[in-house]
Amino acid sequence: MKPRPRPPMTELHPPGPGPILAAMSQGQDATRSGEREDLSARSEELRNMFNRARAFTEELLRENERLRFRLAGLTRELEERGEGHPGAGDVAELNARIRRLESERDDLLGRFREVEAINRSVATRYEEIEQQNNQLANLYYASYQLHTTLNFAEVVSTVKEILINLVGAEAFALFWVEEKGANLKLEASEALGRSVPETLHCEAGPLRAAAVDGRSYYADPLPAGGPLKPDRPIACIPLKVGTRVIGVIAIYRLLQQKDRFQPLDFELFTLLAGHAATALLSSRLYQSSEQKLSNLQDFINMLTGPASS
Amino acid sequence: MSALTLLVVEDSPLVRQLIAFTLRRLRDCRVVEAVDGVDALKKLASERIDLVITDINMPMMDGLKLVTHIRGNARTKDLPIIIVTTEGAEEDRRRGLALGANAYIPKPVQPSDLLKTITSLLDPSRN
Repeated sequence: MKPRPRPPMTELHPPGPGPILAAMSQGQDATRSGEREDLSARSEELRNMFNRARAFTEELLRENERLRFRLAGLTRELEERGEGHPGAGDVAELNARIRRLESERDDLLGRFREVEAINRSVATRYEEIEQQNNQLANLYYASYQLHTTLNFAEVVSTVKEILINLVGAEAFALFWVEEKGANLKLEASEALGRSVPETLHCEAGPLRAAAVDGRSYYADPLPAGGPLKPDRPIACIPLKVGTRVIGVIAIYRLLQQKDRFQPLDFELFTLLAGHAATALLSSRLYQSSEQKLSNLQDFINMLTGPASS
Repeated sequence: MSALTLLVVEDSPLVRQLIAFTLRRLRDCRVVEAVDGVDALKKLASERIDLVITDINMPMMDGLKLVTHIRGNARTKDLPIIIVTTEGAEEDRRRGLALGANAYIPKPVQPSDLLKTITSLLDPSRN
């Protein structure tokens, strides 16, 4: 756009005296001289005012011209950049960017949920492995302790430790199965006093099932507390060497902080059924053979002693 | 936690070994074992112990007397003590804590419970 040419400004001049004024001035020179002076002053004042208005108008026109140049320059600049309609393009781009960011956000949230699920699964698995690790440790140390000695009393003591400290049994008995029938001989007990006799004959019930048939028994749920009955244990574990039942562990009461059997307890019962049976039987046989050997040695010493001296 | 020495006082070798096995999972941890209260006091006198885990029912000196001895000694009075016992009654727990034990865990002990208790006593900022 080209600036329009500025129209030429006209200089204002004071008007000259007309014919009427000349006639009046001829007749009344003396009386009107004061009025003329006054008019002349006012005329001068008007002329000054017009001159100032002209200067101001010229100033405005120059500013207008400068702004029109500036506008033309900016318009040309925008056209060169190809941003004839900058608002519409910006909005479209921003909308696209918002959509892209929302999509990225949804993607990240999805991945975050996936990682969270994996994390939960790993934590659960870790707990399970931890639990298994603890169970294996318990079983290992229990088994190790059972086989660390050939002293029958020490083996019995280890069985009691396992039942008290690992299973959480408060009252229990270890019976030895006698050769004939279902007679059980009390070998050791804990917190039972005299409530269980030295020899127990079982006609029926879980003790007989364990002693004769080698079947385990666990009460579930546990019965409410009451007087302890020798033939009514809450758990019976047959101690087996091969298929032969050599003894029975009968649990009558758990520690008060324990309200039911846990999965680990059944693992321990399985361990006791096999390892404790072997350890008890072998230590008993060893003790018996040691005793026999000692008696034999004494007998030999007695026979050979006087002859050698 | 680093370079910790934990004293396990327990007359049952089975439980002692199991607790020691559990404690060895802690990093930089050394386990000292004692079979009763008297043995524990000897170990406390000869070694720098950071925490004591004790049973109650033991020959020679039981766990409650041991706690009293530890609290009565200027050198060991601030030592963290955990009682691990079959005595699970509430009055037993109160008695143990009143004597100065910091924690009371009834048997059968869950290894995770024991480790959490130890961690909270030795490094409270983790709670």
